Amino acid sequence: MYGLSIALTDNATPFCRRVAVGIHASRIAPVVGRAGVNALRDFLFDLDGERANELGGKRQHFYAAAARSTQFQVEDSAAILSINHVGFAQRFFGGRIEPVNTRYLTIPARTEAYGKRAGEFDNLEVLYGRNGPWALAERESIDVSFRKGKKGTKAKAGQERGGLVLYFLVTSVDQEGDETVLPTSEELLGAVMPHVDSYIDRLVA
Amino acid sequence: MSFSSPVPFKEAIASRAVKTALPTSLSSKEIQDALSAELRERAMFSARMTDLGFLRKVNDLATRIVSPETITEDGVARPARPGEYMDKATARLQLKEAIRALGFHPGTEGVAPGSIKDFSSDARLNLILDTNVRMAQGYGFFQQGQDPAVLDEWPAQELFRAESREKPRDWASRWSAAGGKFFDGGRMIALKNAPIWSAISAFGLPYPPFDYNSGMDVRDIDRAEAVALGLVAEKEAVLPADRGLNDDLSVPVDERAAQLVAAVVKASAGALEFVKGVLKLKGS
Repeated sequence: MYGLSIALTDNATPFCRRVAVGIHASRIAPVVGRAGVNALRDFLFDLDGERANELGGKRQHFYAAAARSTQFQVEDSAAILSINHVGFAQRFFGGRIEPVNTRYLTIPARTEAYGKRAGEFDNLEVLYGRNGPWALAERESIDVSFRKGKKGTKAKAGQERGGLVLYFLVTSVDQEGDETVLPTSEELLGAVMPHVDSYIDRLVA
Repeated sequence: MSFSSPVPFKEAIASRAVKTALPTSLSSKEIQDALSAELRERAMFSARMTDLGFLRKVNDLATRIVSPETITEDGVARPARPGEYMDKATARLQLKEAIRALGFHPGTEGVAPGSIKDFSSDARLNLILDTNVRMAQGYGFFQQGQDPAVLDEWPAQELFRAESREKPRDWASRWSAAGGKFFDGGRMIALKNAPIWSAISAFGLPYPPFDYNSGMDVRDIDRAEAVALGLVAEKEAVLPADRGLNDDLSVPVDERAAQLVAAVVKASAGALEFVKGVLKLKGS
C-alpha cells in the first residue's frame, strides 16, 4: 500500500489544485486497479496458452475466460481486483467440493463429457455397484434392420452402440490448491507501481 | 495479498441491463444490415428467434455468468449461494430445456440437427452465450479504460490473439483494409478511441469480441510506449468516449423498449415492421 502527504502552501494556484486532486487516493485508485487488471489478464491469457485440459478434447479456454472476467472496482478510495469466473477460486485455494442440489458430483470420464452437464445427454443410465451408484454410461442399444424375404420378414442385428462410461459419480472431491494460477504479490506490485509513478510524474511535470 | 469475495462487474452488468429483448424472424445478415451498431448494442436478439421469453432467459443467464456472485430475484439483487453460481454448461442446459419446452425440434423446423441454425445444438447455444457474455465483458473492460486517469496512463491498445483457433481469420488483412498501422513488425496498435476498432468489428462496436467465435482480444499500451510509437504526444490529453449506455439506464424499461422499437422501424425506412411483437421484413 502507498501513502502520500503533501503540504500545500498555496491552494489557490491551479497547479497545486491539479496535483492535489490528481494525487488523491480516489483518483489514483483507478490507475492501480487497471494496472492490476492488466497484469492479471496478461498472466491468465499466457496460462491459457500453456495449460490444456488433461483429458484432451475440445479446448474450454478456462483461463482465457477468467482473464476476460477480471476487472476492478474502487471502494473507499481503494482498488479491488476481482476475477468473476466460477471455479477460479477453487483452482487457487483447493478444498472439498460437495454436491448442493443433487446427491452426487459427476466427474467427466471421457473427452465427450468434459465441459458438459450430464443432463445434456438424453441417453445416460446409472450404473450400480456393490456400494450403490458409481457411474453414468450411455445406454446400450443395437441397431436393427428388417428385410422382407420369401419366408417372411427377418430382423438383422446391426451396430452396437453405447455402454461407454461418461461420468463417475462421487459424493465429494478434495482438490489441492494451486497458487501458480495467480502471479505472486511481488509480481503484481511490480506491475502496478511503475504506472502509479508514471501517472504522478506527469501530474507534477 | 488478501482475498475476499468477488465484487460485481458493474460496467458489464450495466451493458446487459440496458438491453431490450427483440424477437425477430430476420437472419444474422438482415439484422446487421438493418440495425446500427448503437441499436444492436441496446437490443437482445438472436437470428430467427421469435420467442420473447427465450431471449429474456438468454439475457438473464448471460448476466449471471458475467456476475456469478449475484442473483436477482423479483428485481432484488442478493449474493448467490453455493449451487446458484452460473457457468456456461449450466446455462446451456437451461436453454436446452427452454427450447424443448417451446416445442422446437430441428426436424420440424427444417434445419440440420446440430447445425448453427439448430437452436437446441451446442454450436448455436455456445455461440449465443459466448457472444453475449464476451460482449458484456468487452464493454466492461472498454468502459473501465475510459476513466480519465486510466485513459491518460493507457491511451492505446493492441489487438492480439488470446486464444488459438484451428482456422484463424486473417486479422492483419482486416486491420490493413480498415486503415490500421502496423508496428514492430506486425503489431496492431491504435489509440483506444480511434475509429479502427469499430471498423474491424463485425458488430461495429469498439470492443471485443470483434467477430463470432473470435480468439482475438485487446491489451492496454501505456503512454510511454504510445509516445514512442508516435501515436500520441507526451502531454497530449486523450478524451474519453461515452457509449451513452448509462444515460439509457435512467429511462424506465417500458419506455426504453418502446423507443428501441420506434428507432428500429424508423432506421429501416419502411423495410421492417413489428407484427405481434416480432420484428420482420415488411410483407414477410
